[in-house]
Amino acid sequence: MFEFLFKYPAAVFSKGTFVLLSGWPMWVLGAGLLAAAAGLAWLIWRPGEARTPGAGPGDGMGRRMGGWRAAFVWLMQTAMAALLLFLLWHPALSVATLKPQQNIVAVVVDDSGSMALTDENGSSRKDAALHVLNSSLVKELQGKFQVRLYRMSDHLERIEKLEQVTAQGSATHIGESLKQVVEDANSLPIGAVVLLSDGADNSGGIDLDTIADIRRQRIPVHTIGFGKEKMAHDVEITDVEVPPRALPESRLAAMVHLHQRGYAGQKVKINVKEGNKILSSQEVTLKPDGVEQVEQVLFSAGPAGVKTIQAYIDPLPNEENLRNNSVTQLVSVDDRKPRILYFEGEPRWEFKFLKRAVEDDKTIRLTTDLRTTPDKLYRQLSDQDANTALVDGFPTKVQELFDYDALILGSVDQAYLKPEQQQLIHEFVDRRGGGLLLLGGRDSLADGGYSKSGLNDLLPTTLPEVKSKTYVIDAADVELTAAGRESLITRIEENPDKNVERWKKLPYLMNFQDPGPPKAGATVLAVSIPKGGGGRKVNLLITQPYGRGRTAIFATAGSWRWQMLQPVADMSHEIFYRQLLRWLVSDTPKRVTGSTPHPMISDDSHVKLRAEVRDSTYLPSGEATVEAHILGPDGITETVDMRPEPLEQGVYVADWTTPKAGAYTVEISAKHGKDDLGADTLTFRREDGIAENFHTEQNRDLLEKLSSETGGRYYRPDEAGKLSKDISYSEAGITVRETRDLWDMPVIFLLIVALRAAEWTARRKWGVI
Amino acid sequence: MADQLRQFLLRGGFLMVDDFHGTLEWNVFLRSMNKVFPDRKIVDLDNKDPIFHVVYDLDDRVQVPGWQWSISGKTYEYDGFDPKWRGIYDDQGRVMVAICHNMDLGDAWEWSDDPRYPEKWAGLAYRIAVNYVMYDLTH
Repeated sequence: MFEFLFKYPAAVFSKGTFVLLSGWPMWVLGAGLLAAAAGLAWLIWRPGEARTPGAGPGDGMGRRMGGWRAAFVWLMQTAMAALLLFLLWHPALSVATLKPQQNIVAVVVDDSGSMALTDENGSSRKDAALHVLNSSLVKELQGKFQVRLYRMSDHLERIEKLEQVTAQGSATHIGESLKQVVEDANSLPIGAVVLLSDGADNSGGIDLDTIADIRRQRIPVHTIGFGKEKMAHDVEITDVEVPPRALPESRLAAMVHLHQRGYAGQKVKINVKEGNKILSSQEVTLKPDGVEQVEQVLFSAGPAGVKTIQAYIDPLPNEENLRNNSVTQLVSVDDRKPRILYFEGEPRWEFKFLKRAVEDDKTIRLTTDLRTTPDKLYRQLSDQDANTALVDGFPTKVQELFDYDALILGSVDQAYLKPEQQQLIHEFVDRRGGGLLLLGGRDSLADGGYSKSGLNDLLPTTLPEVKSKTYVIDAADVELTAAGRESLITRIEENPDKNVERWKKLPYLMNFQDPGPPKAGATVLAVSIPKGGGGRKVNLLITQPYGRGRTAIFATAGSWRWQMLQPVADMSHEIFYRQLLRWLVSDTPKRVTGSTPHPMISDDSHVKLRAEVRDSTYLPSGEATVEAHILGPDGITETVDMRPEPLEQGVYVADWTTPKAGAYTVEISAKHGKDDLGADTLTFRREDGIAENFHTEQNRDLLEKLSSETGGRYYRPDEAGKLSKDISYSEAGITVRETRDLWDMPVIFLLIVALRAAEWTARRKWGVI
Repeated sequence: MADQLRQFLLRGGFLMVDDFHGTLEWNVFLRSMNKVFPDRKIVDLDNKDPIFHVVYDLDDRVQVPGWQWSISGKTYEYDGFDPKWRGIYDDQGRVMVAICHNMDLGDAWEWSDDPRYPEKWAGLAYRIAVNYVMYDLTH
């Protein structure tokens, strides 16, 4: 219809430039328009003539019709005059068109596994694409251009015949494939790209650089989309987030991202397993169709080692794609024993019971130093401490304190710590990345003068400036906040709701301390509610990240009642302190810390390695020699030199291509001259044949966006016939600029007829012919 | 009662037993303690145990008699000739019951301001108390 009315395809109008070919000045057109409008107005409203029935046009008709009727007639006649004047100026479109037989059209067919899905009226997406090409499109294109066939999966490959498209590619990388086409266009006159795909890209989309490259070359990418845009019945786990590293026997949270179609409101069980051993299960209710939901499933990290954790949902009745019901991730459970220094200012029950709570935790090494008298300290060393450790009291040297992963300060007046020791603690958190926990007490927080100390900056709260004591010996109940409900630190019971109730039923605290309001970025996990306080809530457990480390306040010295007032078998007190202390140390980095953004690589061979290297005082080491020793399946070994990252001091990176699927172990070692700075081990795993099972619905948004950004157009398979006409209009390749007359468009004729008919009909109705 | 005491001790409580002497009173104590911990042994505390070193080093301990010494002149009562420093450990090797048999530390504290009661015993009794309390607060 469009082409019938406007003579040319829509592409001519979208790509063409409007021009007037007459060569007469534009001001003449404007003046003519004004003159015509004025002349017609004079004719319609000219003065001095009597109202004579049957008088003709221009005979004082305005007077006879009066008001808006005359204005309507004037408007119709002026529009008519304007249209005729406009046509005299010879309007046209100037459009670039591809020169016949001198340009190449690249036809790219998606050859990835998802194209094998049979959701195109009983046939596969691949067959539907081949049908579109074979039925007429290729022939029509070959009539005008040279056609180059490509198949696309995780790379682009030129093919001679369409039979070479098998839909067995392991991944879809549209962006990278188009980049290769653009590279070809540097030496070949590629005028346009036709992409036949379901758009199910699994490389994270098409990056802006690729789009910019295509736009620079002015190559329009026309896309034809295949596959259902929405599945009827499917549950898909889209992602599973687990911490890449953990301490042995830690409680971990797997954040399972999923969505579904056709099963809204239904209950399903999310299982987390390692090998054949189910670690945890959780029943969830599915949200409405297409809505992304995130569920937290807790599980134990177990003993040290690399764990392959799989989250999965059992198949539901009539589910269309069963291969997207599970996602696998790696967790490296480190065989390390973080060290914590607990410095306590006075003998008290909280000290004793904190120690007892974590004594059975074989992962944590707790060293304590207790002031038994003003000038006497009682050291209780762990098996990793030297006998000489802490003989002079609280550490005064960097290496001495930085040997620990976390520090707990009990009821210690800040004046006891010298300014240089306070500075050391600051550096310990900020630079070394250690954890700092401050406990409540009569010499703690505001009552210990910390608001005026060098440590104030580290605290997660703004300590109150009050003259009265903030440490109150009075009973107080405890309650979790919304953040505490979700936190793993406070998770005594696995079920979040039951956990909230469990905290409410804990024996009351013997005392509490007001730590003040949380700073920006801090999180309040629990509050104490003084008995008889009228429901007033006082922040109890507050955490925050600080620099490379983290800090927390537990504003009481009375949680020992959770141990003494509950049965021996009750582990609430132990679990809480172990989780709090594990949180304090679990992310404390070593001097050399290796990482990779994706420990589990699906259908991709590229891996990025990153190492953060610090010297003995944990300052970034920018002149180190860093090597990654890679050990892979079937005896693969390789040593890769890591290069310094220009913008991040002490950071070294390397890109490596995995030769085959399997598990890889990387030992990253760093040296500075002859000094050994340390080493770290990380693991990653490459799995093939996975990526194409996910995001299998047609990603029409991506295809449409790709087309519109590059000057192409998105087509449904049944519209593909239009493509061979539209494709000629391109500014890439070898083009010729053509002008297309507009004066003889049928729509112009119809407009003239409509203007005249409208005026005639109106005048007839009013009896003024 | 025995169950309550057992619960108290296993949760982290500490019990110091003092001022009982000789075989007869030991047997009475033993019968009672067996109700609390039928499966735990009472052992002699080693000199190296932290309980004797947490604040003061108390390697050289002597029998601390009760106030009766000022009348009888004897440091023992009944047939409790030798002081016994005994205890019951928990599963983590911490002393949870400290047993001071054949001595009377309580009297030593009580009569420490009496000129007739020797300072050497009162002082030792205080040092033992400080160690025991500090041990409880740190273990």
